[in-house]
Amino acid sequence: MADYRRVTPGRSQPRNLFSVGASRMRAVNIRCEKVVGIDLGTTNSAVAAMEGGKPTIVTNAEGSRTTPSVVAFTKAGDRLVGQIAKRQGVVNPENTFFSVKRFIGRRMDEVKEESKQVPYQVVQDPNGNVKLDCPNAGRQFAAEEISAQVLRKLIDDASKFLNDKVDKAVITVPAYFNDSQRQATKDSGKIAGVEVLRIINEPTAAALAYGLDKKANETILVFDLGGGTFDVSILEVGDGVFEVLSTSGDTHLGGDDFDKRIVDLLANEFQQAESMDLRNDRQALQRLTEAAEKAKIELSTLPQTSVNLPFITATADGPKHIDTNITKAKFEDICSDLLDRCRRPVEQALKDAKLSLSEIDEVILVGGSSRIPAVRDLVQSMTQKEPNVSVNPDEVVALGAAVQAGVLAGEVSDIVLLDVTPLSLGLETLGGVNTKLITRNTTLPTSKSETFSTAADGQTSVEINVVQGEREFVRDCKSLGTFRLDGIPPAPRGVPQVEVKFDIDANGILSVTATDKGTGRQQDIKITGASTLPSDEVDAMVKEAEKFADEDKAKRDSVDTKNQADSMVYQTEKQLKEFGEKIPDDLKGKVEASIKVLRESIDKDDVEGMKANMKKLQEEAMQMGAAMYGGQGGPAPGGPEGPGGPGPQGPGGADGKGDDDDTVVDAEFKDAN
Amino acid sequence: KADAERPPKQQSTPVANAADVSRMLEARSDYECLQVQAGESAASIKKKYKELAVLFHPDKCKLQGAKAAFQRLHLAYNNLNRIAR
Repeated sequence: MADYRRVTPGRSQPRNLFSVGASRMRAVNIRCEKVVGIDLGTTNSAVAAMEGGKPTIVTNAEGSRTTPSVVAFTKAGDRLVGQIAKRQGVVNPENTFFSVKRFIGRRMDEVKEESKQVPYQVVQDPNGNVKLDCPNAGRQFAAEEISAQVLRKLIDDASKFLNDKVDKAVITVPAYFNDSQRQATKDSGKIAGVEVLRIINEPTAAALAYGLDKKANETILVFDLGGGTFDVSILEVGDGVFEVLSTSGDTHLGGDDFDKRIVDLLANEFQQAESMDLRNDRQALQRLTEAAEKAKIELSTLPQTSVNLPFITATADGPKHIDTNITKAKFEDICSDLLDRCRRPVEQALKDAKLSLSEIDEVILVGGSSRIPAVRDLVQSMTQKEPNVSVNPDEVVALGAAVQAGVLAGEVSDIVLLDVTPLSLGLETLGGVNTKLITRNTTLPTSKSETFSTAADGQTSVEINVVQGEREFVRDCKSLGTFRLDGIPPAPRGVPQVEVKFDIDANGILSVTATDKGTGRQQDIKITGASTLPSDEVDAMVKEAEKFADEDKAKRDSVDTKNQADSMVYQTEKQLKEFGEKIPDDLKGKVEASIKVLRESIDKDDVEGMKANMKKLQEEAMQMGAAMYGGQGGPAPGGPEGPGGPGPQGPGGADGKGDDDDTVVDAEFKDAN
Repeated sequence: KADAERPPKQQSTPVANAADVSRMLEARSDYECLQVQAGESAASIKKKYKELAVLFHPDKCKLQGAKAAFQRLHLAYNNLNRIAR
């Protein structure tokens, strides 16, 4: 149940969704929909909700606090999500999609390297966007659709856990995600059928959860090394205000890269010994990847770990195995350059926040990979501070997202998050130069306008190309969208005045307006077109996802019906066998015939037939039951039963049941034999 | 329980009304906007800024003009903070 403790009593102004009146009424009867916070991770995801004024992790249907972000399609056409999908990855590598977050909202040319590291097929669609090929489903999926499956499961599990409808969520993304990656994540939510209230940054969410109970002002540095991305954020926390000062990161660095190093180590050793590259064998690669992740995790607590992979492959000489040891020192050695890559974003974030290390009060470690001792040592040596490990690195992001969800839903009233734009926004000017209007780390909401002019004499239109990124030239940045302002009266170059206004609202949605000051003509776009998916495609996917849900329901229904029919056949046969003597022959024949028909429809997988035949059999089974008890009881069933079994039934009154029952059953056995 | 522990000041979190928003938008100086005196310390400017940010941020205040009011506040804070430092 929601807690409205923070909603101020006696206030006249309605705030967000709940007026004071509504929150009082809740005591009577009103059940509100729950808003949840979702950490949609590269390897694992988590959900949290506000319960009793505190964010709480929601356990999934399997009872775990995190869910693997894995979706698989089996040969039979079933869709598996979470742990169950992860578990069958080794035997179904081409159809098991993991680390999909690395591809979401990306173009193929941005993820060449990553696409080679996964055992499933990553392909390019005609627009240059990434698609994932799934042989078992016989089609290609967008990364958004795969993530939507994960989201759907998380939401379904959450509504079961909370016993409440959940259709609104706050989803987190790495701080360094660009606009199209954010939009793609939002589209995933849409495909999954949830309204995404806000996309917030993972390190910011971590800070929200960490700082919720802190009274004093603190400057904190969040070091978030996840499965696929690395973020650093510096925030000032206190007086209910969470102000992001700067953020920096690397969207191509995470735990997966450390796994990859171990995979390469093992595969290279094997190649030297057997002159065979295991990385070309998808199944072997999948086993290596899993073993590598396990070894990495073990090396966080042990000085040495062993890797045992029997029958990893076979040659003409017979089966081949991997049996080797990896020491912590060796692991740190092969990953030393990855560790070095963690340094720069920290330095950059400090520089952008105009702070020195001595001004940082706390360093908070977030993300599973921050458990690696070498990473902790690096943070400690860089910051000269003992990192704060009071938060659970796997859960804190989801908890923070739930806090923000509470703020947006009006459940949490005395907190506000002042977030920043992670990357600079600008437009293309003469010579392909990126002219920045809004610089990175500007507090949101914000707006900025600047006046531009034409580059050529008599130019009557200007094309506005909106770009995101830090580089000086547009070709090195991400183009978010273009639009054209025309109808400018012909004039010598430099004379017309075109005012371009950038505006980002609290939701992080950018709108760009261009106005010709001479004529007052105006053109604008809302940058939601930065998505890699056109909106009609998203709509089609939403419909398809709904269809999937219906199919799932139908499939579930058929499985349930089949099980029910099976058990009914079994039960009725058992009864026939046990109490056959008490049942009149004509009824017995009818029941046996019905059983046979029902069996046939089970074998044919005919759901409707099963349902109809089950109904028929059930009616006859009732008559059978009546016949069985009939002899002892009422006169009505006694009539038809007369010829069948008055003999054994006669003495067997309700009183002497125990003894007589035994004799009857014995006799049955002899009969059957 | 938890309610009892909360200091009374936070229990009566003030809420911005339409008049507050227009006062913010019509402020003639950064000082007026932030409701501080000239020459005040950076710390007290920051404190006031945070107090007002909770009131006017569009996540907290759904009134028309809240976004502009917050942006005005943020600008004033940046200016005064630079001077105070």
